[in-house]
Amino acid sequence: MLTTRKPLAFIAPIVLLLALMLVNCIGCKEKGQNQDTQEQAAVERTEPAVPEVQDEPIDPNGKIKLRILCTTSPNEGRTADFTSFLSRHFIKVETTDYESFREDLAKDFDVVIIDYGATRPGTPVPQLSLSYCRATITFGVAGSMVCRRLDLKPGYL
Amino acid sequence: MANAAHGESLEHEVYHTPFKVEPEFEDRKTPANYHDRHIGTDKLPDKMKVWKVQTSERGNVVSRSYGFEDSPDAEAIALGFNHGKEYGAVGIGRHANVLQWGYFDPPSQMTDAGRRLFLNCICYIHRFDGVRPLVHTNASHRLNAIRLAPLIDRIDDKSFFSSTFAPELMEKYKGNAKGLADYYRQDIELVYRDSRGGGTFQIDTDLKELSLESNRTVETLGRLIELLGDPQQAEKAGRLLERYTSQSNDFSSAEQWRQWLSENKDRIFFSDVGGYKFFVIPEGYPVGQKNQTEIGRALFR
Repeated sequence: MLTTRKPLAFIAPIVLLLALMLVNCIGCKEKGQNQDTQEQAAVERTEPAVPEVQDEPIDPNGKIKLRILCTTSPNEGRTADFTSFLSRHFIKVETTDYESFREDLAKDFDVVIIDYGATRPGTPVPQLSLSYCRATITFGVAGSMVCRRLDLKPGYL
Repeated sequence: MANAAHGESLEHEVYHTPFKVEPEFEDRKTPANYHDRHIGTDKLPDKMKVWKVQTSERGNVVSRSYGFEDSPDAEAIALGFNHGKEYGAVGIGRHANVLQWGYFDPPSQMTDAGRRLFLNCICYIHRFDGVRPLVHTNASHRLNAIRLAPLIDRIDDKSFFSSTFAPELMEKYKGNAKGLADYYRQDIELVYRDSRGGGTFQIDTDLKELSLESNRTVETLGRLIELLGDPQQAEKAGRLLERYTSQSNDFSSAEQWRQWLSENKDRIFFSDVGGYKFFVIPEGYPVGQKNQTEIGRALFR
């Protein structure tokens, strides 16, 4: 009896291990295929996939609880590109004119994104004072001109 | 700047939260401008590891590395792979409440890693809402003396250097640009800019006479305060404290200086860019993670 039960006791864990490896392998493949499909769709829509949010307050829809104010570019498609992307990730996204942007326009927002879509210096710069302290991302060469106005280190040189 | 960032160090939390940034690295030939503008005595590698932030080739703008991190209110987040400035120039960097994203492409044309980093940057900068800079840029970092010295034999217009090099140095090193660079390199720890000297780069001979090796260490500051008690050196020490601090009008005795140093010594820093002065970090001021070593300064340490 011992001779018949011993091989079974030896083989059972191996069979279980192989089964688990098979399931994992299929799972990986499905996950990979899903990512491929998502990436393809993202390219077609020119929109990125939504990654999972970690360690940041989110609302029931999975959006990050930050309100974003984005300045507009003369290229409307560029502005739409930003707002479309940001709206998928943040609870509130609005736009305001780049040239006439002032700090008080940002009082109901958590982060400002200053973008103009400029490829060269010499673009107009919003009239911000040295006391400007709203959390802000400045973008590209126009952004560096804004930093220069504020006497900040990323300022255009 | 091109479309990529250098990939040596991605330890900063902005690469990890809330989204995990997983760049695809590639090796690119080290740009010729990196070699030309390299002020260290070592040799840069032939290839460098980078990762693509955006898909189109055009980047946009990088900030000079010199002095970018000489104050604790600023941090380099990504070094931009560029064809115009030095290795170490900053592609993405924060100063106080503002984070500059030097790349051009909108989100749909960023790589997946670029988009994730962009989202993380938005979340990260929110922590610095309401935070004002500790220093404003009002002086050129000392390493620019070495960077600009080779130009004295290439640019004929002397007015170009009027606020950079003293006329007597220009004359002395005419035809010997390397000599001028070496002049500053040998005493890089004692370089400062004095508005009374026309704002040109100068070597601090006062400190040299006191056998002090650097103008930007807290140890030097402490020594100068000690020398206020030495009748033979008090006048010079007072002059140097006026040069390198903003407290001279506030204190009338050595004891006041000692108390100020004792209370603040763990929060004192020196900034070239901020005007070649010592500053105090206010208590509770949010300091970001240092991601990159301050490139130029590291070359001399």
